[in-house]
Amino acid sequence: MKNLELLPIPNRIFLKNRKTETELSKKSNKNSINSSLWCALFFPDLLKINLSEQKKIISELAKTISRFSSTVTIDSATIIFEIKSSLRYFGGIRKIIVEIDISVKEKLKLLILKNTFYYGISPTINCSSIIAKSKKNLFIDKESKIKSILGNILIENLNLDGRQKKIFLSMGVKKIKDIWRLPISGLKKRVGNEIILQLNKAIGLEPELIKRYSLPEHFTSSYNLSYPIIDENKALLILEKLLNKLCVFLQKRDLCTSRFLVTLKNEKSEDIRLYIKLRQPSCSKNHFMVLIKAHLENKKILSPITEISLNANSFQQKNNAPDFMLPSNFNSANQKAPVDKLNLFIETLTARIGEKSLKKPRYIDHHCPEYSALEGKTDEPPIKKAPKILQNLRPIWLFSEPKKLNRYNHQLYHNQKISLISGPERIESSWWEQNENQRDYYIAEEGCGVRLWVFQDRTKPGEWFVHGIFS
Amino acid sequence: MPNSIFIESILNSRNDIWRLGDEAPKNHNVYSSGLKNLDNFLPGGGWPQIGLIEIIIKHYGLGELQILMPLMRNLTAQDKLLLWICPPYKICTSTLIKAGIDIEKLLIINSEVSTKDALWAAEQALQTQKFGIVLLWHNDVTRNAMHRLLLATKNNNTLGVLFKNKKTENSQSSIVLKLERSSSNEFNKKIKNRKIKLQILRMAGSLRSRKTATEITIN
Repeated sequence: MKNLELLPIPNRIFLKNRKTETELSKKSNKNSINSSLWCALFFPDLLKINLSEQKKIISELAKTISRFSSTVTIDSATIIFEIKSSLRYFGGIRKIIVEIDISVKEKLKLLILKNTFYYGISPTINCSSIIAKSKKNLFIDKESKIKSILGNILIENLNLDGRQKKIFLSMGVKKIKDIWRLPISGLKKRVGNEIILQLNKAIGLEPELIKRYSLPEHFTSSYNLSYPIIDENKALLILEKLLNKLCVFLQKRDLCTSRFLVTLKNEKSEDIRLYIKLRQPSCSKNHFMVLIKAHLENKKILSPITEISLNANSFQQKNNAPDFMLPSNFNSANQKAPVDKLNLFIETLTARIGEKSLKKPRYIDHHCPEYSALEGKTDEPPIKKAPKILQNLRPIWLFSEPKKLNRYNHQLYHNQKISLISGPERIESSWWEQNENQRDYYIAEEGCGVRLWVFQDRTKPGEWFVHGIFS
Repeated sequence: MPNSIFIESILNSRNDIWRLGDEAPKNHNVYSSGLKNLDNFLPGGGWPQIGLIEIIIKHYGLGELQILMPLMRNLTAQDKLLLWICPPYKICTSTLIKAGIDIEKLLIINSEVSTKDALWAAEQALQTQKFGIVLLWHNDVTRNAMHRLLLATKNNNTLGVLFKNKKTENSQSSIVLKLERSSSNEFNKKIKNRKIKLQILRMAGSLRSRKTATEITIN
């Protein structure tokens, strides 16, 4: 263990072993095979949350890390990145680790997460990852030292499935060094080749391939006005310029977008924010302009605007690429795909009246009509299964809340005198539901001929309500 | 060939000539209403495929949607969309499903939107040509706005229906129908086979329809 430099990060390593840092910068190229230094950050708390949330958070953390390295990769709850190339820029390994530590902690605080994460630094990706997962915070500067340090780590930190774990335990294998003592051919037969490959990669015997994390595209552009404006048309002219820039950005990357934000900054009142949403991604300036105009219809500019900005961070690949390399008619190939009229109508409509005002009827199987009739968003997927429908007569219109009927001389009145035609049909809610309904429903007719759906509330004797209208 | 027969054949060969006494314009394509009585009553034998139908009704709940249900069922079966703008109440979805309407093809704009937005939505929807029928419930539609809707239907070969509680003077809608309670009260006591009175107040391109009324039975 004499030659080993086991360095807990950051205090113990860098404060007590200053020599190591200087030695590393001088000798690293000579001693290591691939002259890389990989840092792995393991976030154990992320394993406890659901996968989609985990992906979202780890992606946010990777964004922070990309400040320190151009080569970042993600492996479930671990971020691995190359730091050797950044050492000179950040002023040595100690400084870079301290910087990383501060940045990650700040990010975790922003994401409202626990401040728990572990380091592992070594010349190979797999070794760094295993060290970080072992929660030992170790630093290995030379590849020759990997095997002896890795050997003392428990096999639980390797990517093993349940069957492999069982086999190793039955053989009395607890640490990685125990695996190396076993004959490779027999090991391959029993646990497969993957584990051997992983260990070989960790000690630098096998090349390691990584899937680079690339920063998500982001477009932001703003226009500072030399004098404040209140005229909507002038604002639209500036927005047209910003949209031109966005379209050039999209064209260069062969992308399209389905949502972006336009902010009109005011001097006095609150900023006007226009959340532009599209049902299908687009890269057409005219399409964007139509939606912005529809938004502005209902949001009047009341105080002078000083700045207009446009932000987009959600992009999709264009799928209307031509099948041929050199089109015979270049102009026609360059034309944008026509925007679907229905989608454009719904987008413009939601931009103008708001998403809440446009609905699609939904149905769930429930004997109480107020629970079965729902309203959903227009982009909700269609129901595949045909619903079961009660054969009893139901009105087409329902009141959002049943209206109490007037009673005078044993006669019920709505707008006019009403008389019962048929009924009763008893409808009761289930005992586990919050609202306890015990109702006897009747079909009634008003003097003017309007058919009503009325009920007598059994929990409130003598009280009658109208619930719907047969149209 | 005698002159009169020759003139008759010329007149019959042209769709853009309307003659006094014609039931409906010659180029009047119709959708079957799905109700035999109503088909017999409506000029041309059904609902027009293009134009604006105005339904005057004092109180909602007389069966105004029942007379359009078969048409809407057929349109959704043909994969056409329906748009209901400002319906007066919440919709009981099970009734629509029971009537055979595919609710996946129905879009609803709630009644909280302003008159301006409702009319704009109706006009835009008619212009998209993606909707089989656009239904609008609104009492405060001016004559000019109605004329714009009518033009939108005619220019885009679509159908719109406007439910109102009173007649607009000099309306240019394709058909203006008035819906009332049937005078035969006894019959109305039955749950099914309800009778309603329909009156054509105006039919574009037809003189027959003035003040013609009938009673039809709906389920």
